[in-house]
Amino acid sequence: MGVSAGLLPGVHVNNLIPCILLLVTSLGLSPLSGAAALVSMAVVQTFTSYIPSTFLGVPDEGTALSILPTHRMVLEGRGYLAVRLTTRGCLSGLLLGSLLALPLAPAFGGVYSLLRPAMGWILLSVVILMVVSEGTPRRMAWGLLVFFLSGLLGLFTLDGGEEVLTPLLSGLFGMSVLLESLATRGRLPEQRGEEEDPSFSLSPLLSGVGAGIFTGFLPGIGPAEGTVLSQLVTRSRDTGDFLLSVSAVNMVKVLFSFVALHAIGRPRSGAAVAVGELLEVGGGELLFLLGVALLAGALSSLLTPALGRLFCSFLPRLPYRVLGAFTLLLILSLTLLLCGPSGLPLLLTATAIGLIPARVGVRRSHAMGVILLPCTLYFLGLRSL
Amino acid sequence: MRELVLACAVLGLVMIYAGSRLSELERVEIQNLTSGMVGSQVLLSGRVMDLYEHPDGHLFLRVGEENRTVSVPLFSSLRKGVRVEMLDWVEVRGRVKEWKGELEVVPGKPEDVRVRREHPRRVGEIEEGEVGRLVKVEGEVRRVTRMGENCTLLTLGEGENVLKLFLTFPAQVGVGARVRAAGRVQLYRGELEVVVKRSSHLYL
Repeated sequence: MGVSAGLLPGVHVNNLIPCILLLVTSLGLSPLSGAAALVSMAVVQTFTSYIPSTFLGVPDEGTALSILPTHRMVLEGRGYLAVRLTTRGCLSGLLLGSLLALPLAPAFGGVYSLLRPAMGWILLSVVILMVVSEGTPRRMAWGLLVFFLSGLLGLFTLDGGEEVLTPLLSGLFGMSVLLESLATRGRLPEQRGEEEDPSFSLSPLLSGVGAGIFTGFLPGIGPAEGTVLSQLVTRSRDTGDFLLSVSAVNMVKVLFSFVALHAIGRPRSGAAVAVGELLEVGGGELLFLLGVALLAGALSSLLTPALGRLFCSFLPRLPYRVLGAFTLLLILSLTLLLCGPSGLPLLLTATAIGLIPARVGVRRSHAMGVILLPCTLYFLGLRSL
Repeated sequence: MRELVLACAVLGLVMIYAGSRLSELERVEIQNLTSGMVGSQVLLSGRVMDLYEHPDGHLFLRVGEENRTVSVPLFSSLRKGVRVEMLDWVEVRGRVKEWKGELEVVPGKPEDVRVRREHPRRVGEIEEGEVGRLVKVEGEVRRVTRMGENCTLLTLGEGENVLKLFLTFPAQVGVGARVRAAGRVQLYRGELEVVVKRSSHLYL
């Protein structure tokens, strides 16, 4: 299920959690086994999700103003290396995060109680930092506009339940990227096979793990914001460093959503909510689940490059537009399945907002305002849940 | 990369082993529960020997056997998902805590309490040999006698058989109602009766 959630665009771990819970009940598995299945799924999904995000939605060289580093590598024929770098980042982040989780977890309760009253201001600072890091006043203004537009969309719709997240996030981050690339690209360039990994840098990894831990405890903050924070620390422009950092942030954020459940009693992801419903995560359970995450990570790191190689070999032979159209159809079907026809206007609005960043050359992560703005207002006491 | 995969796999297996040993719930017999276990997670089972409903909606159970019971508080937030009656068999997963010098096992969620319903016995099945024992009985109310301000005597009948229920609390029960109650059997003036101590032991 983790592989399916990772490889199918638009499908998220949260969509598959009911299937896992159904399996747990029907097979009479213990709550700990159910929790292990959920953690494995979340970890495997994080590893494998870099395959579609690398090879799908690749824009044309001339038209994309803000091109993602993985897409740049695909255009250079180095998509497989991008997948291997993200796999390495995920695995290194997982190992480092697991080792840090045990000594840090007992301290987090106290730290969280101290920070909790200032949470709204912390989130606001992250937003300001994200906008200011755009550099020029024009880009800052566009970044702020994207943040507010997506934030308003979140404020108006998130009360409709968890299902609306699928059209919102798919529109902001999936459909918009796909539409951009479909408009311009005919076929993917031929991808090179094996290539030696660039030298391993420790600083992007460490800053990625740090940002992952920080964002893992904060509600509403995504890996994209974590990566920006990590980049502000390392100030590296190297593509390899960026991929190591972003994948480490993403992985550690997933891992620490479970640690947060143990340390502060608050889940920070859909999978962590489901684990919390299955069992009370004490010290022993946390150790067990971290072990499961490591083992699932080790297996994923063998599986993901193999799948990446497979994608590299057959994707350039496929008509890219057909592939993109199939993916769009998948996202549309999922939206209809989860939200009914009322999900379509949400998907279209989110897609329209998601198209802005690439057009004006700002980071797409400002669109995380869809969750971040409602969260910030809640913690500032300006909005009830 | 290979070294990293190997390190993750080995460390993962060690952590799974250690975590499963640590999180393995210790199934304890109630008589073996000691203050040294405070803070640990345990799994215990037994019958509900007493049950008290707090006005705020909390339900306090005493789980175990005749001679040894342990307190299991079900706080109102958790109680919604749990339906439990006197003498039901329950399996409780919870953390051992100490409250006013007494040990208690506190479950964290409704799923931590598994209930197997104890079916009530029929009126004619209660015998003299059971005097002093706790029983659950069901029957139709044939007569209601007020005993002063605070007590009620219900006469349950089923065919030829009758059994008196002595309720030590005022109860609003009418003739013809079918009731289920749990209490101790006693012999009063040569007649068997079941003494029901709390309103939470009577189910209409």
